[in-house]
Amino acid sequence: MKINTDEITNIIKQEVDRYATELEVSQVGQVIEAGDGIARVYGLSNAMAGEMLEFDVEGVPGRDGGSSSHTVRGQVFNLEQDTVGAVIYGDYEEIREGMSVRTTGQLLSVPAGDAVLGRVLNALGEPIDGKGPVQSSEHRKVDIIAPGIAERQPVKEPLQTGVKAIDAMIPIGRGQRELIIGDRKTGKTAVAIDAIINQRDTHKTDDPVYCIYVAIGQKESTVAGVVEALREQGAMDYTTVIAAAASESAPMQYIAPYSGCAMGEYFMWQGKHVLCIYDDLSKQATSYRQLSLLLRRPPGREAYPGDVFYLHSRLLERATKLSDENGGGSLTALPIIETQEGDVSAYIPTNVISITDGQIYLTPELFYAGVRPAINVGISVSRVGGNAQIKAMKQIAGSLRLDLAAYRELEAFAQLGTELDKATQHQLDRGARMVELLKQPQYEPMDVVDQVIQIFAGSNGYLDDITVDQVPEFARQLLEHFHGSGAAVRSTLAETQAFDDELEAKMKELMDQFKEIWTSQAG
Amino acid sequence: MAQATPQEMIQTVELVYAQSLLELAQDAGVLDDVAAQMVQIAELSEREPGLIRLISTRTISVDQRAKIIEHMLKGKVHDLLYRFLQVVNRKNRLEHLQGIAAALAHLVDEANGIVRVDAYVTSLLDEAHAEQLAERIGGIIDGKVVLRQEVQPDLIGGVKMRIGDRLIDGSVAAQLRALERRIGETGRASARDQAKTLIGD
Repeated sequence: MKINTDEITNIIKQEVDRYATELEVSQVGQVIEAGDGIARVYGLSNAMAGEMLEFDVEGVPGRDGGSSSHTVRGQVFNLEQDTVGAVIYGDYEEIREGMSVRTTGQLLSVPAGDAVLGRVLNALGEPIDGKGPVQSSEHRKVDIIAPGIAERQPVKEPLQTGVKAIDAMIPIGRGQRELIIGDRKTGKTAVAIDAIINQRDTHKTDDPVYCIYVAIGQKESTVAGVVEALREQGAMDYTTVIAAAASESAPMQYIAPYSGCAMGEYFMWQGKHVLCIYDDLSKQATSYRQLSLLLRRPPGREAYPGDVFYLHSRLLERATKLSDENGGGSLTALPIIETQEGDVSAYIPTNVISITDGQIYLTPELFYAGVRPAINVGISVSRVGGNAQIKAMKQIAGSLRLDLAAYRELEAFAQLGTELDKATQHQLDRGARMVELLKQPQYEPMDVVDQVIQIFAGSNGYLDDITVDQVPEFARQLLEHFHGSGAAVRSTLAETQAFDDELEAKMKELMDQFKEIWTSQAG
Repeated sequence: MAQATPQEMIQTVELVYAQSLLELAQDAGVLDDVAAQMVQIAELSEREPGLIRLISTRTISVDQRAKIIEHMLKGKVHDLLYRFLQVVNRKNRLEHLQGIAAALAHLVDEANGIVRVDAYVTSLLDEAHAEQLAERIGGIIDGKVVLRQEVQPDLIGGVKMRIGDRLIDGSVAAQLRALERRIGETGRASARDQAKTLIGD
């Protein structure tokens, strides 16, 4: 786009014509203590809780030998008798004792809208991807009260993650909060990223899902890897990444999830659907603890402040399914919590478990046993359940959880090496094959119709007479068959999203056909 | 002309003591004397910081400190002020003496309707202009203004004023910043509209 210099001249002339002398009136205070991301300010007697502040940083030496002045933003946190405790959003090392601080009369807001899609931003909505400023005319307040009861409706549409184990047994609905919890290096982020990638196909429909990934306290190299993976899979076009990495100050790590949620709410209130991933809230709680202790708030259990529950509850309550009168949009939250040595009864994990509508629990034992995603379906739950599944999946996945639960109980017997009766052996064989079927490579989320086809095959015994190590290849070729000669049946299933007798018969016919081909190949 | 000073921090405890001294002095009708003597004590403690450390240290007992105060000040300051300082000593608050003096000055100004205004200018105003400015401000805020000036060349022109913790910026630099902001916003909006038209085409 060519810049027309006449236009710039006209804009300047217009502004000069419209110019009227205005006085800038603000409240000022003075920094009496600063460091580690917080400052205590004297004065500001009319400052309000949560009000944004501007610190006048003067005389910062520049590279050209001159000095520049600029402002650093902060926010009022504590209203004390003589002073105001503030957090600093920015380079806190520039703040010195004696500096002036002004109130702004505003709350923290971030840019929102289509302009943030495809961008990597910091917790204040400032770009860090080197692609220039975020050209957005819309702004949304970061910390707001969640929609009330009357503005909502129950969760009723599925959000397909593309992960078989989740979509079959722990289904997530649009507007739900589903916690992803597990020890370090168990694949929590991988599940979340696959969920983002799986929304790619929704953008070919009139019901797209926009994604916000908030990285809190992670290594910058990890965040860069996530961004690259999303870009390679074509997911960055509809995703915004908010990065408050480990090198960022505690206030930035504290505010990042709220910023991401605010950007997501823009789309939600337009009747669109959003998926927000907070990776991870344990680090946000740690940052909040640091801020609170520095500002001398009384420590509670494990030195966390008394309102650490409210820190997470007010964030997660903003995930909602809006009523049709309010546009019917939704914001689905996938918060991530890291446990230590599998302890889900620790303080922060139990807090977040009690807030969310279910949890997906990943265990290191399953991970190292090669079951990836390492989802322990026995203790994972979705409190929304069948309302968040298409009918076809409900029909075939109903017994899957029970089958797997029975399999896990019987696994111990298998290790004893004792001779087992036919029924028990069959249960074990079936279970082993279903576990193998539910394994899935990273960055390969699967369409829900394909998931239904594979699980249908498993539940109806088509895997029973093949070896466990052949299951992945069988499942892959089965899908190829349904995309090829079985395309008509597949598209009927995709359209109706439910089984009737006729469709079931056709499915079985095709599966028998494929089985013959498979057997003849193996022979 | 008086120099503008950075905002003085007055702690609540200092304000409480100053308020009680103010009320006692007002009741006794000796406020002006007490206030003036308190200013002198504050100036003395600024010149001789060791003195404050000596009379406020807790390594010597309250009674010993009381004797030092008696020796230094009895008969040399108003009896009300002397008794007040002995009470402050008994409460172990002598390290707040300077703060109490500042708080008292602030309260006396308030009682007398005096408002101290810090004016930041590009070059010092002569007496006539400073008086004129003080009168105009006094008319607006309905008080007697004592103007303190500080030179800040980067204002370019105009004046910036601090009244208490309120800052009123009428400088040329602030106007230019506001103009820059508005031109930037208008320009960005125009660029966005152009981009939309281009994409639409």
